[in-house]
Amino acid sequence: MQQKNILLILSRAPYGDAHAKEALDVALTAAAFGLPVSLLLMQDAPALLLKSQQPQQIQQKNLASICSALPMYDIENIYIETLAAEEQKITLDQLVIPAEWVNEADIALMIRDHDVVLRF
Amino acid sequence: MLFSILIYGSAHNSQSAHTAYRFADSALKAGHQIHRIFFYGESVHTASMLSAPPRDEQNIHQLWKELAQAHKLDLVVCIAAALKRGVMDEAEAKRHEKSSFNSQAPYELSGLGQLSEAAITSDRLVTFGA
Repeated sequence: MQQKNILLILSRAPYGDAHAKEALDVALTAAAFGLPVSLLLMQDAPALLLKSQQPQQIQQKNLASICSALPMYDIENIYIETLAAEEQKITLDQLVIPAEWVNEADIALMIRDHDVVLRF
Repeated sequence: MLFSILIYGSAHNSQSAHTAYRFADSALKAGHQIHRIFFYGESVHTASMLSAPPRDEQNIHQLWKELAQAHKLDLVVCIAAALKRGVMDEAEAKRHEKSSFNSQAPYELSGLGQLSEAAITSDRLVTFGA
């Protein structure tokens, strides 16, 4: 069977609802199943990768620590919507793992080039 | 075509569970096959047999159950998402020392691996209620 790749698109803030955590759970499981996984963070989602987040202040588990483990699961294709990062003044050196900027045209190609696209 | 369906939407607070049901029913009537229905996020409440909506409203738990029985569908509920929301079958209730359970076949509690397998196996994985 031909290998299928999977793109997870996150667009919500990391805390406030369960979407980011549930998306990360899907990413880790899919990677464990040998599926190539790409993550795209849009809108409010790029904050998920910030080193400086302190969710313990609101009694939440720190999702950045899960994100820092993504490369160990061979999840290295991590993309951030440039526009969202600019609006939120997020720079690459503030992130727990390396990521790549993408614009609207790149995103359209990513959606086209993945077999399975899931939104969270 | 072989479909799998991933539902995120709340069973009782979003249209997505019903839309997914109508999609599945229509796909089957059109001669397509469905490999698996996967309930994730808030949609795990669909698996609770204790839901008792008013008689003049649709019972989404029952609708999926009947469709699954008629077509031998695989209804899989994410076990981690279900347990934290209080949806569990008899075996999980025992394991977690709970005094009751609220889910049973054809709904089956299982892991996210079932979602990955569905993505690999199916021609299309269609999601409802992101």
